[in-house]
Amino acid sequence: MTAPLADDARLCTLADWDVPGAGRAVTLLDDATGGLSTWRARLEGVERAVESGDCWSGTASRNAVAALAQVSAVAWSLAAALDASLSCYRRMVAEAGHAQELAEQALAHAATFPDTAAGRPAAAETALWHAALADAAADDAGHALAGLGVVDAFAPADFGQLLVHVPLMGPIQPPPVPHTRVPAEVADWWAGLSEAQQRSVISMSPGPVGALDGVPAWARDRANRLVLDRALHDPRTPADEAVTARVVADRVAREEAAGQTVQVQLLDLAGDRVALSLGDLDTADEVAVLVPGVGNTPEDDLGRLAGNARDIAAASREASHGTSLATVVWLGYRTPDTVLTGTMRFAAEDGGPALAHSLDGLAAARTATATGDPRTTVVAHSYGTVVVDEAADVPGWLAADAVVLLGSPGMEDYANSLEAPEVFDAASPGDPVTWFPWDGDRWTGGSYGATALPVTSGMGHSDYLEPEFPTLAAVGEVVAGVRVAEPGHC
Amino acid sequence: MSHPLPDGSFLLVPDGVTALADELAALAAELAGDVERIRAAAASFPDALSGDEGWAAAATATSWARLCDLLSSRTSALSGVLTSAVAAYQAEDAALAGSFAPGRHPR
Repeated sequence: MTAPLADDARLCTLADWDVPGAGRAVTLLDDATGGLSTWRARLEGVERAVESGDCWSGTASRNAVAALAQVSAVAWSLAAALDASLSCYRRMVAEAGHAQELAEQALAHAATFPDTAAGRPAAAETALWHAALADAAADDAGHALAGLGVVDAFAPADFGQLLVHVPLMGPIQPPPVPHTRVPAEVADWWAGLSEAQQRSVISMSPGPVGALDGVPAWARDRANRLVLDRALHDPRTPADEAVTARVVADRVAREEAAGQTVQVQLLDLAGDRVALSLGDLDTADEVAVLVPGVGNTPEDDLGRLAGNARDIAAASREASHGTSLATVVWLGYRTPDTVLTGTMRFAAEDGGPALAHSLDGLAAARTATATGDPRTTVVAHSYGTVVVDEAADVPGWLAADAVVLLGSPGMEDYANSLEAPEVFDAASPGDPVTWFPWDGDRWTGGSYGATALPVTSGMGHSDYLEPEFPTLAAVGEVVAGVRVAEPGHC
Repeated sequence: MSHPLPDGSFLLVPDGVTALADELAALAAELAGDVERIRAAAASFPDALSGDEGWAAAATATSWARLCDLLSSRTSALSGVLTSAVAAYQAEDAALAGSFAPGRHPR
């Protein structure tokens, strides 16, 4: 026989629950631990810095790397366990909400019909059922921590005991490289892998990882260096690819011998496409992406373009001391071979989306690892400006704070169509490429809407980044973010 | 320090290692702040959900806090090890430098 409803203390308890209060507590848990994956990414940055041996090497430093790897592994396991536990908390709050609502209905029914002999209404039974589900969900939230040695809400006593429950050794099954090519999705996938999984997938699939926009720069660099090493030592490597591989390896060696941090961001030997960063793209405050024009290839021009990148970096440091900088030589598209083909947009129609995707990847990787948004400037020369034009046509905003157009052969639309808050332009009177809109329907001067950078009449088409002319210093100021756009211009 | 590696070489750049130690200390401090927020959440569950549900939710959240606290403490300890390493290398260097002073014999 069922007890009278008014006496059912359990229903009264349910009706008194502060479900919004429980929801706020769960939100607090989510907020407090939601940044654990980015926390781990920063920790692994320290680990890689020690591992590099740049500032510390020897037995003690190797032990430090091992200890940091343990902390990283614990952080990854903890994030996974807390995420599972959090899902149970959310289910608990949902069930508690149902239970409370139905309990209130049942109590209201009892108050309206105090003398009914029909027993408890269905709402009362359902309320108790949802309360039981809430209770089970609360228990499940605790069970989700069992893998970390939490028993009956008692956590391990110290880090050593916690470590016992975290897999550190043994073979790691490399995770499959995702099918998505959306940089933000790639970045999230990468951030969700443990450090051991990240290293494993780099080792097993260096080609795909090195080409994935959205993967952090350090990982792409490691992957592409593996690809490079294999190409250099594999006698089956086609001759032209082997030449490019040697050029890239030589350039990396030369820059590193000079104390420069180098990251190989793209190494598509078959496609003759390379992107090389001078500076750490994962931590730099400022990023400059140099997009060259007609007739540039990795084999013939990587060294000269790296020199341009160094000059831009020097000019930027001159303009703003104390910030960290990475400059990228972006040969991520097949440049037109000749001036004649440079009047056509085919190469830019391929290169534009690749550039837009690459910029999205840089931004997504930084966002996923919470390493701050760098100021990103695209410095495009000649036909490279047409590539930027096409990149801006890709759906979604161009992930750049500023665009610098040097010796542009013509653009479509106006400066604001490039989607960057700041657009600067340099067109020398001595540069015939800028006399006519070969590749678009507009000159970049006048009504185009870009802020003009200083030039001299003696400058030719290849002189914009030469230290003896004034444009380079101005480009450095743009990269550093200290050059102000003219009123009424981008 | 005074125990060379088998290959006879090691390196320590004080400013570089100190910067890494500072980053670890910052990470530990951030996580310690999160631990306090988790504890606050744990304390509010029994008030919100009286009964077994609230108690179980609070107990589990307390475990969350403990686990994060272990991670924070270990990170803080490693930061201290790096800081100590820098101090030890510098102290050893200073001692060696002093031993070359006139009238003293190198150790």
